[in-house]
Parts: sequence; C-alpha cells; structure tokens
Amino acid sequence: MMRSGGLQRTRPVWLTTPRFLLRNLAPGDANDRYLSWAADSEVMGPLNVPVVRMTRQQLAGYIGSFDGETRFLIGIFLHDDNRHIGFYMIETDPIHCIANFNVVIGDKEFWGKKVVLETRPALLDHFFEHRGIDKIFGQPLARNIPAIFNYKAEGWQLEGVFKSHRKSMTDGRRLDQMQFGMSKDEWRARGRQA
Amino acid sequence: MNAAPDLSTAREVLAGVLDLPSGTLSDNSSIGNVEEWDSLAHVRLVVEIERRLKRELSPIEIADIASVADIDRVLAGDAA
Repeated sequence: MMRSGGLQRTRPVWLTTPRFLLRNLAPGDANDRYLSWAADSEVMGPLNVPVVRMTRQQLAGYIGSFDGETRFLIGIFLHDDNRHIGFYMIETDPIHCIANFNVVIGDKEFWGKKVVLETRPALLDHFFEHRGIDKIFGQPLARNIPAIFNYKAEGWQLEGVFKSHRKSMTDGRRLDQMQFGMSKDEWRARGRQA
Repeated sequence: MNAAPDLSTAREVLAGVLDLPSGTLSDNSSIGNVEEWDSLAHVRLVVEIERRLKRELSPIEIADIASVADIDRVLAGDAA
C-alpha cells in the first residue's frame, strides 16, 4: 500500500543476518547498556553527538519518539544471546523517497568485527525494496574513519565534502563532513554483480 | 609502454597495519578481498600514512583509500 507521499507502509522491521537480528527498538529496550553508550565519548564522539547521562525513563521516551513509519530506531541484536550491541537511526523523507542512515556500534567488543558490513546490506535491501526508498545517504564526519571504511567497502559513492560544516561538540572546532550515497539502481546493480 | 608502478611500499604499509607477513598481499589487494582489512585496521592505516607523510590527510585522500594502488597514490601525493 502506498502512502500519499510515496513511501510504503509495511510491517515493523524484522531482518536477520548470519550473526544478527535487526528489529525496531521499543521503549522496553531502554537498558543500562544503551544508557552507557549515550554517556561514552568514545562511542558518541565520532558522531559528534554530545555525551548525555539519561535516566532509563528518558531513554525509553527517546526510543518511543521514533514512529517506525518515517523515523526508525533499529536495534542490532546477537542471535546467540540476544545481546543488544548497537543500533541504526534512519530518517526517511516521504516526498523525495530518500533515507538518511546513521549507525552506532555501542558494544566495543564488536568494533572491527564487520557488523555494519553484515547488517547494512539487509537494511538497504529492505528500504529500497519494501519501503519505497529510491536513494539512501550517510553523512559521516571526515575523520570518522571506521564509517568511511564501511561506505567504501560497500561501494557507496562519495558525493561531496562539506567544508567546516559542523561544530565539534568537544572543542568547538569546525569539522568537515562527507556525504556518501547509494541509489536503488546502483544497489540492485551491485546485487547482480555479486 | 609504461612499466607497471612499483607498489611494494604500499603493500608493506598495508601488511604492517594488518600484521600480515610481507608477501601476503598483492598489487590487487583491496578492501573487498583482504579479510583482515576491517574498520579498525583502516584507522591504523590512515594514521600510518599520515605518520609517513608528516601531515593530516585531506577528506578526499581519506575517501580515496580502498586498495593497495590507492595507498600508493596517496603516499605519492597523487590522490584526487
């Protein structure tokens, strides 16, 4: 069924990869692990997001602010023990059929373990094929090297560098920001090559 | 006919940050075909290139690195 803006209304996100389950977060997912990520400058620093110490109730409210229709907070859970290790924040624009992807791997045990390379393709497939999205983009800071690695490894195109586009949340310096993009056609072409 | 570029330094740099024996990598090694090349190794690679060049890489140079050949171009200052 198509919404008036062009996006398709579908069931909640529920995707599996060899190691992980991806699903919409619910207020009940607010836990101490998630709270610790929000308060950890090593985790949030690369995103230039200020470190915040929230209560579980505040975090539950934040999670509940994502409607699962145009704004998504999608948890990454280990199959083995259902451990929550990170999340995607995805914001869609129904008019232009685009989506902005952000990802946080909060559990440092999984840094360098190719979690994004395993999980993001499932989300790209889902948003392109089942939610009416034509183009997906991400905007890492220019010094967010792990994020840039993941975009390069997945074949996203660097679309531009915004000079001094952000102000550092830690020291006020101006920071460059990149934009990587992937169109539905490019993604489908990569699938045919694989 | 141009001789093939000597990518031995680029291979050495990458093997070093990946903690692989020299000779493991080829001139065609890239993000897509070297299992040990992950996001944390990529951080070490950028740091090592910057250490050798004694300067911070530009965003375009950082975004250009996905293979041994790319590393060679950045080390030579020929990145886009």
